[in-house]
Amino acid sequence: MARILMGVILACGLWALAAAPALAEVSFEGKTVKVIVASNAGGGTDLSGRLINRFMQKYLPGNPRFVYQYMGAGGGKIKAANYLANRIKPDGMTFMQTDSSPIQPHVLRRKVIKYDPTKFIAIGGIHRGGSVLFIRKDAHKRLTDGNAAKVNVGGISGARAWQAMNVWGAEFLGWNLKWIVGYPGTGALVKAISQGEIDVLATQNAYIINELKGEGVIDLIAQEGIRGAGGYTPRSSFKDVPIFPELMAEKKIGKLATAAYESWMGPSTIDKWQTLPPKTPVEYVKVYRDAFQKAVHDPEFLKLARKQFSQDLVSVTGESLNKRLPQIVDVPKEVLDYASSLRKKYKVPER
Amino acid sequence: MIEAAYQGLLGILEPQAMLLMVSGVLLSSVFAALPGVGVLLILTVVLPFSLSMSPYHAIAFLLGIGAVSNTANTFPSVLIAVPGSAGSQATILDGYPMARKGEAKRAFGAAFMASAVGGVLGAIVLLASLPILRPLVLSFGSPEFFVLVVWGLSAIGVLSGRAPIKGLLAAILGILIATVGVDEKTAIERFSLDTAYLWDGVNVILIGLGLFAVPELIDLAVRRSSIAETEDLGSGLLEGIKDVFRHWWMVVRCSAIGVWVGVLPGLGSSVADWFAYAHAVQTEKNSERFGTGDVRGVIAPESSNNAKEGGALIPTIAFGIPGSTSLAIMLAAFVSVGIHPGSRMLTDQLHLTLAMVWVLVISNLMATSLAMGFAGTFARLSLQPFYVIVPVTLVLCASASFAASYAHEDLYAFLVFSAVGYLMKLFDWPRPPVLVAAVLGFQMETYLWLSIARYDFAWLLRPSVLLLLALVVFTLMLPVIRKRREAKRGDAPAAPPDDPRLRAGNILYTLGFIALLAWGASVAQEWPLRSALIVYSLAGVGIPLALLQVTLDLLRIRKHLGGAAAETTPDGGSPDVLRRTGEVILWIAALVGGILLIGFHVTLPLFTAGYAFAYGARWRTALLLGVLAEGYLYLVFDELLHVLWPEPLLISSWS
Repeated sequence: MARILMGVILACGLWALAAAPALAEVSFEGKTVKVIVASNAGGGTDLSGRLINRFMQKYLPGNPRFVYQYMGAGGGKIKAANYLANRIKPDGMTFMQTDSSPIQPHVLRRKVIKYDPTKFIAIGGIHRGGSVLFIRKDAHKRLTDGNAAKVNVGGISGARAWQAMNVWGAEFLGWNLKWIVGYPGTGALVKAISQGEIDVLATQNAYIINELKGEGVIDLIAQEGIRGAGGYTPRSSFKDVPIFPELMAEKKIGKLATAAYESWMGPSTIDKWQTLPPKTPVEYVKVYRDAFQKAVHDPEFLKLARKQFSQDLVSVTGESLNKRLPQIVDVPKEVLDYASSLRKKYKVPER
Repeated sequence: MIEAAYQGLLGILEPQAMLLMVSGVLLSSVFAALPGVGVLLILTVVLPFSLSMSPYHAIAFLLGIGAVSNTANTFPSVLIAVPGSAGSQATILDGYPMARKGEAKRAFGAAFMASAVGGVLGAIVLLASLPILRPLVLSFGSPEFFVLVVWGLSAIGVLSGRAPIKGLLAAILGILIATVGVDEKTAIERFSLDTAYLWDGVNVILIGLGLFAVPELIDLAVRRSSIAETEDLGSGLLEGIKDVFRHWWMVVRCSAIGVWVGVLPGLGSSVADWFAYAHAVQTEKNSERFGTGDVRGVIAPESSNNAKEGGALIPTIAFGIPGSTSLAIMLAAFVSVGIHPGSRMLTDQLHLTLAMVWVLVISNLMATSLAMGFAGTFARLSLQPFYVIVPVTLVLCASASFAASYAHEDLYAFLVFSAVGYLMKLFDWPRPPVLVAAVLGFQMETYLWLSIARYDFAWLLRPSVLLLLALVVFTLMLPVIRKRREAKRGDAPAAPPDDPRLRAGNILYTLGFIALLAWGASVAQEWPLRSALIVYSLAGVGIPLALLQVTLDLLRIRKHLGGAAAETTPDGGSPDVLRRTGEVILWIAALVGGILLIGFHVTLPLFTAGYAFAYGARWRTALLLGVLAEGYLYLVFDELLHVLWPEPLLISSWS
């Protein structure tokens, strides 16, 4: 009997040994990897993803060819996530590049959602360093003067992560704000702040911030901060700009308000990311994650990406993203309700 | 300045830069002529390669692609009433009737020369406005944008022809379509029917294809002839070129409109041609000829849509704000190669700014020569029999629809707009107002909301707003005054004969429209007032107007029944026409049904070959057409776009 048992153990050991090289033998030689892009052609998600993939191709075994399918139009980001979760065979030959839209807690409450983002297997992501909030110089004095005319916050929608800084600023720092949302794009917003139609705006785009600052139009008032294990750090190119969560900490706003702020800002800590469909075999997950890390640390990539997107570009591993996703998505009801109550109080729409 | 211009020119004339510019122009011309593909995708594909180029090379290559994207897209607009891209929709209104009259060559000659002149004028305006770039762009806030959009919408008056009430109702339908999607003001989903597909609204290409291409195709299939109703195409290319210079003042004005639409970020790239077309109809003599194959109706939109590219460069250079999506991609590349939009473009990087001006000029001249070279070949397609043109065009329509967002829902939307377009044509409803209003309706609501949210109603007293409003009133009055003068002289066009059967159908159609508005208003009751107000307003104006139209139709039927018999037996009611119409509708249904059930790759070649064979093509011709359809699908959608085809309903497998 013991002999049989030993035999079984030996057989299992041999099988495991045989199986081990198979894990390392993933090769994409002569294969085509499909990339579902959850944006329109030419959008930030597309451009950043294409740049990463140019280097991923170099580091994936067998150097596959990448082909792109856009799902930007018609609620495309949600459609792409639905598609990835339900229609894609998890054979390691398809992944999605997206932004934080499909993991916004309020979006996940909508009826059309047919996916669980915590089941996605993240490959990795990049973060441009977080938004910097700025105000027109001629409106700066009115920011904390409740008797003065309101300071106008512009926006494409009221649900962008950086709007949380304004809402919490109004609630806890006495900011005298009024929201004007519905602008058709960043270009229109930059024009609006340049001409004084709006007074407050935020963006991650260092190029826009530096241009407006260089022209003497704006003062920088706060930044989102880069969240790490030891707390928040500033963007290297905006070291002197106050970190908003630290301003809040000084005000001792309480646990619920802090949790609600973090739930609103949470998705923005995942900026542009790539993910495989649920149930993708582990050997593929490993090679993708390895290739991603090599790609985003390639000196040539860093040179191009810092020029094109942000000097403060940081990368996030797939493992870290998968740990973070449940924290972002599973937000307690009272926390969501608190954020909703502030939105209602300051008339900031939810999407 | 002169030294910088010289330096810029030298940079562009360097052999490698020229080679890149030629490649860019060639790529752009080929893909612009394919409906639904467009140059945006090409820019995205070439972007990674351009990141390591020198600044001059990047400018030559990328701007060479972007600057001429509205030249070759005229081919499908004129020949088969299929818009090559959103920027060439207005060209259909007179371009296609010209093709029917056997004047496709003349239309091409006029369109390409107008495109070249517009492109060059755009470059000149860019050059001239360099010193005043910033104040120019900053002088337009949301209130001024709103009035500009109203000015664009005032075109509806002249695009409505002899049916002003129907024109207004069509515009109301267009604005209603523009409300579909998530309203950013309130985060409410408006008319999204619980599907994510409609969150971002309805793609304007689908509306254009449905409203214009399919009704014209049905007409062609019923006529059973070639597109051109004559066998002599003449030597119209030169005539078309001369037309541009005959109407040089209109070309200058329409180019200026194109530049302005480009300059203002937020107006959108698909409105320039409509603005210019409307302006031409409002200001030119004998405006009743527009829409019937008047060459001015081709020249006006074509001179504006290329000029727009020069205009769009202004905010890109001045602020780093891309004036269009194509320029957003270029901007990303420009920044990567060391070009810094903003104040430096007018100082130490002035030579690069002027290099852009040179590229605009040279690439437009290149693209025009290229397109002119192929004009004769394409024009001869208008002599091909209907059994070749109809299936091939339907293949292009179906694939271009699908390219809107690569979903089955695109095909449903295509069918809906095709039905609407066909009924509108049948009942003599003006179709352009739907498209103009669908394009501008969103902007109108957006900028009205932003103006009120920011300034309450004080914006109405801004001098610039008052000035622009005066311009709107003037352009609205101009055609009215002209028509009165013509009426006094007895030049007014005669009304076509009345047909009571069509009147009865028209009444049903109008009642359907009333039901739609009533449904919209009832759905809107669940929304916050800010989101619902536009729908209430549309219903409040639209329902009484529609009832008035029904009353007028009833009165005309009564008058007809009480009076003499019909003056003519209209074609619309003859048994042959009805049978043929029924047949082609069944073919379209079979095409879409086939795609849904067994997929594109099986259906499209079978459909093309089947249709051609059924209506008289030799089997070899039919087979060749089928192979061509499959080849087009494979090369463009599989090899170039790498489309993930939606799973056919009858074939269940993993993608």
